[in-house]
Amino acid sequence: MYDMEPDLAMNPADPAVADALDRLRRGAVEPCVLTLLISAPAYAHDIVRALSAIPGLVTSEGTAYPMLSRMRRAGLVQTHWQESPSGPPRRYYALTDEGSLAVAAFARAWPTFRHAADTIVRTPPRAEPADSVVPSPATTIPTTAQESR
Amino acid sequence: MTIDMTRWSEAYLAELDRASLALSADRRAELREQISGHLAVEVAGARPDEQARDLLQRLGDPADLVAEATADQPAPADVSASAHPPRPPEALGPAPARLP
Repeated sequence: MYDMEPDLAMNPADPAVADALDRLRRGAVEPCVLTLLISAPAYAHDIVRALSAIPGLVTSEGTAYPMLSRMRRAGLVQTHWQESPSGPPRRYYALTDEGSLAVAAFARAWPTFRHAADTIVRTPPRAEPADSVVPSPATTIPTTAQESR
Repeated sequence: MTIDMTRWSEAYLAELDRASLALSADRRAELREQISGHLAVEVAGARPDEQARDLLQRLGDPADLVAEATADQPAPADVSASAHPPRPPEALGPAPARLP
């Protein structure tokens, strides 16, 4: 019922898919950008191309630029200009100490979160025998308190 | 670089200028500098068969870029209830210079 292999043929123009991707991006894309910068500062254009090469990670190449600016204002990255062998000087982005701490924390938290989400989503709903002792997470009936949230 | 790509890039930047009028002057200038730099690199490295519209489609709708630029700002208050009406676009300063 739920095929959890990456769907490279998914249609991001589908409003429902686009909305789901937009919700998932919040909170996840910025740490991915920080992760790209762990090894070395990077040229903004290269960061943008690296992000856009992976389907579903950014809405468009252009939206990555204001995101980089936002991360700079938040103190997660810093920028400097560097001469280019071809063309005008280039703006490079590098991790700050705060950015390094943020990406390390994300790297610790992500596997737990991913596993938790997979546990729910990967388990297709199915009819449980009446004498089933432990229901699977996907078939657990929400409590009244959960429903009211 | 083709004339067509240069013309489409300039049109895109003009649309971005219009879409970003509500941004603060510094955010607007930074976004303009980033996107014009991106376009310059893309146009210079474009394949002969690459179409300008494909390049701009990858870049995205200027309105989406502006929305992303304000994602860390609180939603604007109800204008009708505000004692201070929004500043007119001319108060935000002139649009950044165009690419040479």
